[in-house]
Amino acid sequence: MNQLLSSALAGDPAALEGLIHEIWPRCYRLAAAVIGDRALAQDAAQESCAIVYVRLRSLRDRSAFDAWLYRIVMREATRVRRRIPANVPLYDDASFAPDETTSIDVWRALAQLPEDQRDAVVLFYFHDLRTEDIAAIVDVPHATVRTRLMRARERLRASLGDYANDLHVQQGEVQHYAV
Amino acid sequence: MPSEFSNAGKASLRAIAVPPLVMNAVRARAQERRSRTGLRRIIVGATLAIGILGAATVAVVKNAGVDLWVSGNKGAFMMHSLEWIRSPQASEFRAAVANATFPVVYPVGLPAGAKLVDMQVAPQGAPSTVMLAYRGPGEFHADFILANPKIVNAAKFGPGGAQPHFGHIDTWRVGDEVVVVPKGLLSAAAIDRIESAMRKTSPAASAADAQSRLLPFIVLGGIDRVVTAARYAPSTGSSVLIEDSQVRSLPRRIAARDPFVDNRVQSLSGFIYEKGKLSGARSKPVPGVSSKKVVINLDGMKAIESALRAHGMLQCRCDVLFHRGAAAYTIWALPLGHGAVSKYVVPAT
Repeated sequence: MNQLLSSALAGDPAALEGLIHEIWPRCYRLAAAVIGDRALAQDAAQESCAIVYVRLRSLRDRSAFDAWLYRIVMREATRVRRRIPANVPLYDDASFAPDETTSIDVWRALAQLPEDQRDAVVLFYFHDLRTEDIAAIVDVPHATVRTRLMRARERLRASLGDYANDLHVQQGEVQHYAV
Repeated sequence: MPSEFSNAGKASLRAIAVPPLVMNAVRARAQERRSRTGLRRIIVGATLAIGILGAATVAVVKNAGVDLWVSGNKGAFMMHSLEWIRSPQASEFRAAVANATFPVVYPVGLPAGAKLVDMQVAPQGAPSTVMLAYRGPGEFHADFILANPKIVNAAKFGPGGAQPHFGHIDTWRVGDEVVVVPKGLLSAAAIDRIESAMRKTSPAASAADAQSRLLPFIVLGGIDRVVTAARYAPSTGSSVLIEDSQVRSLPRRIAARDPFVDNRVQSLSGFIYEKGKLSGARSKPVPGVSSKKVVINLDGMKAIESALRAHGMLQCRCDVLFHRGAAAYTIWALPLGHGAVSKYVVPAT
């Protein structure tokens, strides 16, 4: 992807479209995980890719691409999920079938969280982002992210039981923007 | 050690079936974004790219609706009205700043070929703030805020309310003017060069420099191709740059007898701030300010369409520079990606 990114930043339109193809699964899966609705996730992911399409060349720091992309997807996800009426069940189609290799139904657990806590949990536990990076991505103070994670863990204990016991903030173990 | 929940989450994430990417849909959305000439893009983008005050701090605004906070290398900005001039022409430039409340020193020391593509003054009529956007060869991109020091507040904010969203800036003072540049657009060396040049110039000389950087054509769509278009546009006469989506709308516009009008100058007010961010989408132009002068009439549109159609270019992904001469229309197709610029000449009717 590095070569595609470099070429796209240099103005190569074919590389830009190649880059969009490359990031599409990441964008869609992140949007789906925080929104909980397949159609809206597709909307958010497509719009995110369109933003990358239009604005990539305004990105000055190549190394900031991942963080920039996270911000775009999270912003679009936040925008589209405003359309979800209250009391509509989330994570309710076949896309969100529980993973057969584990007895934890993460989607059912996420559905019980408020949106801001769900965002923090997905970025922290599923994407291994640091809390300070999450703060920059969702544009809130660092302390707010830690509070959201703490509250999320309290709620998750109810649905995950013993599996929630090891849900503590593990600052030293996470990688930077690993996806 | 990663938690079991974390591992399960990652596995579940990977298990999500990803629908195929519909590249045409992404292209269409991208095009829509590019062509959106409404407020959201311009205000959020060109208005400084520095922080905006939170809604609860609106009450502390003074100074005729414009306030600027500068604290070290961070700044926050707020305004309630502005006059926005895209691709300003000489008379528009002079009129916009004629009654500025401070002796404006414009940016000098900019690279050769850099063009002044966008201008905003606030408040309209007697601006205490002038915002300028430049584009130039080599992806040069710079935005400047020039402000009357009297509107610059101390770093402390009014009592209570939401905290402002400060953005990173570079700032310096030249005479009776505060210059603010959003961080990251210009290198440190470029800022040093511009700051030094601005200190050595005068308001009149800098105004002359700024006017020499005005575009010799007007831009009705996006500004991505202005630098390329500037290489081809005749220095005199009437030239108009339209963007890709406008080119593709030609058949529909011709059928609807819907000519291109000059809507570059707008007066905006009613700015709304939500959760500390400017919500430009809910701002509206003040009715009656746009000139609505026809700049590409039906004959001109037909000339563009026929030239592009004859060369299989009607669906090209390109902006078009149109020049109306006494005896002929000249049309340049400027590809959005790499590719040669095509020139067509059509006898005027």
